[in-house]
Amino acid sequence: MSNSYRMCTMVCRILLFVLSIVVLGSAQSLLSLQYPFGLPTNTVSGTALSMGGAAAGLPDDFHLLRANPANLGTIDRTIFSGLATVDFTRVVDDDEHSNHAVLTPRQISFSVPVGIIGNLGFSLAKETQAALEFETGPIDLDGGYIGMRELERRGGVTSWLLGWGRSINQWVYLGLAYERAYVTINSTSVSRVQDFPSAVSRDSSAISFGGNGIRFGFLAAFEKIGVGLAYNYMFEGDLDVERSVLRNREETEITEGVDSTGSLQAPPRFTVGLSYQFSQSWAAALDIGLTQWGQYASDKILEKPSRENAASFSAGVRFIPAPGILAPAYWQTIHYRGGAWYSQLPDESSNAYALSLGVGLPLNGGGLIDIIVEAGQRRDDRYDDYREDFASIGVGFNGGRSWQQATEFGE
Amino acid sequence: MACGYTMFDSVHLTENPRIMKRYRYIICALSAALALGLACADSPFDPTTRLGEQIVEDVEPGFLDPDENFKAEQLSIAVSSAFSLLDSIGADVSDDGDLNTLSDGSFVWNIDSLYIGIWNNTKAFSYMQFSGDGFFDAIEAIEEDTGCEIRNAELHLPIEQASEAMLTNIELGLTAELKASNVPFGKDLELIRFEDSLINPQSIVTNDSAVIIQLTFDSLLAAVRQAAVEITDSITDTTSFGFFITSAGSLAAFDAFGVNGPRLMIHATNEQCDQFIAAERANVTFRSFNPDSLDNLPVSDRPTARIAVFGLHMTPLWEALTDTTGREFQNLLIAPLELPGYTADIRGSDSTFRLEYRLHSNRNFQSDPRALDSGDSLGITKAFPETPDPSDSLFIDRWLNLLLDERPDTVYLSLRLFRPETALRLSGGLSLFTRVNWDTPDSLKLKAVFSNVK
Repeated sequence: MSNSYRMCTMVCRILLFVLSIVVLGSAQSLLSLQYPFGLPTNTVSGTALSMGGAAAGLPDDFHLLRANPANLGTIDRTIFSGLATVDFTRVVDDDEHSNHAVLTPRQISFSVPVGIIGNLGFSLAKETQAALEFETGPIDLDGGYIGMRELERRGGVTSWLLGWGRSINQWVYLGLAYERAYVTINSTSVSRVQDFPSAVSRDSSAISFGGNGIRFGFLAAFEKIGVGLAYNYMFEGDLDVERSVLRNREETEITEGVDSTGSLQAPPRFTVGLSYQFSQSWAAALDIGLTQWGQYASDKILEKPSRENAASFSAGVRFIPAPGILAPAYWQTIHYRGGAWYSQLPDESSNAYALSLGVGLPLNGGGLIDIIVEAGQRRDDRYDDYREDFASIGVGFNGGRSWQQATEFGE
Repeated sequence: MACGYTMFDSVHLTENPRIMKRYRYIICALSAALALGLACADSPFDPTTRLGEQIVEDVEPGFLDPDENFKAEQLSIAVSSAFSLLDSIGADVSDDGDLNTLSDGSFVWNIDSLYIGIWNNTKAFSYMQFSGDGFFDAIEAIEEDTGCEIRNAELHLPIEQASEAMLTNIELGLTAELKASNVPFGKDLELIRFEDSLINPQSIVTNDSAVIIQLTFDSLLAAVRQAAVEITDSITDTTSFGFFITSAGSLAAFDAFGVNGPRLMIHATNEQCDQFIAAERANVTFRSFNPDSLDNLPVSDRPTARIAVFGLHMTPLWEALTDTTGREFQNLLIAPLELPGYTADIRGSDSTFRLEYRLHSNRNFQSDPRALDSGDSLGITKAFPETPDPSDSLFIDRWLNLLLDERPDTVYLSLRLFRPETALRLSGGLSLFTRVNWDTPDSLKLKAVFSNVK
């Protein structure tokens, strides 16, 4: 077992310990309250995240199928990839601020080659995050009582993909994935009387959806240029709402449930990706995405965004100091990356942007550990004094083995 | 099958172990320091935020408006009636002296204390029943041994708690019935013969743990036989006999259950031949000297299992659910009701009493005056001082929320003295001898806070 492997193992353990402390916090985004599924999470690999998330047009083993299912066709070995981030948010309103943190496991993916059929891949990801814990200040009531209101929101979209990708010829790759998405939005509105812990009433709603979708991908790599197209479509499905009211006094609970159903049509998403390989050391990528909120409908159960189409742009570069040298120093093998992204959020006046930096630390056996730092801001022009500054520290785990090669050498 | 190498393998061929080791130590130290710092420090992160109110208000209109979400009001609730009832334990007891609900062959449930003596113009009678078959078997067992003769008999009553002085002027009555009859035991106390001849007047021993009443064995045997013959013309295995005990002294409580319950000892000249039989069932009743007066007063009484009941006119509360703008509030967050004034008579080491209170809907109360344990009326218990504290109140919102749909004009508040667990009683806490005489106010204050959660 090499020193680099031991070092990375130890670093990972310590980071996990640190993350386990941070996870005691909670994520916050008041802006996400306005969007039906919460805030979108970038579920690409750590490798892509450090390039601003641009990956649809850049062939890379560790991108697997999240950004573009056709990327599966470029892979000739067994690959796995996972990404988790610690997300820090500073909510700023006028002169005040509050700090929040949460650990977010973003995605885990793997693929296996299946001969002439191509590659099969699987991926599980947290697509959006709806996390909010808001409380009012003390509200003076008659009779000396002090009231308080709280609003809690939990959930988001989690999905898994089962995909296939194959090369059509030496330049063109196609991919297709079946998607199963689960939407869970749990909201609770609380009224309470301070100093009387049991004087609480809660009005809760649990919205859930399980639906099917497809993802189609195309990727063409002409020498130094890569072009990718990815399209994601979710079929209409049933949206269930379970509402309950809890009036609580000591050990007594009264719960009244009111159930209803509707249908959900999630917005389709279209992504175009471009990449250019300047040299063995330098590569750049650009993604342009469009989420078609105009096609979204939820029978007025979830919020209705004001945008018809929400665009997103991401771009990044990658630099490997000495990719072709036989005996480089370790630092010369590290992948240095940087990127930026800008995204229109579902409401007309809101957007977000961020800068990202990352390094990929090579491991024995072909693996890569990504350390990513991302920082940016979300805001809505309707609220002049309000903004959400955010930063993420991410760790990506990537690995792979080329089984065919071993057989070829007869080992 | 062995694994092959990939393009990344080449980059590790020249790793410098010394440099890597140094890196490892540095990173390890930095990470450990960071982790330790985070673990020891207060979290710099907030679980909730109060910022972004405007966004919340836009998404949830009215969320922040106090008038929209809360309404606090102080109401005057008229007391329409005040009286007392015997509760579920009292259902086994009646003031006219009939012990009419004794179950056959076992202790009556819910009776874990027997009372004897005088208490607040009430006289307590205990009844304990023994198997006639067991009694004669015990006698036979002693007489079979040639070295033993019956010396005397004793009634052992383990003391649970005594209110004040020792028992005095114990009276003992004896009766018999057929176990096999399996009919409710019915005896009029006036017809019970309390026979001095049964008791050896020189030998009533009272100590901290028991009262031991020495009986004149010949009189006991004759009385048992006479009582049995009176009802069956013969003494059979199915005959039982029982003692009624009362006293002119202050009230005392005795364990009624199991091995700690009453027992009849038959002593022999050689103590190795002693026999005893345990009581097979027991009950208690009280005779009030002026029962009518109690029924018309709100009295909570522990020994006599009496509960106070107040009828409350709730219309003002239901009207307050709608405010002047027509806004409807459909939930009570908190509703403390003023506690009526009281005079407490507590005879024990604990100067507080614990009250169990419940609210009953008009409908349930009228359908069965004794059905106060209906499923929707779990009680809350709370300790109160011997001298009333004006700030004390009863939180009745849990029941009022249950009645929001029905909205009865009158609801009934029951106040019952809580029966402490045995362990607590043995430790001297929460006296068994407590009576609370409640005032009957014209009205009681109710400070209600409504919310609009529907």
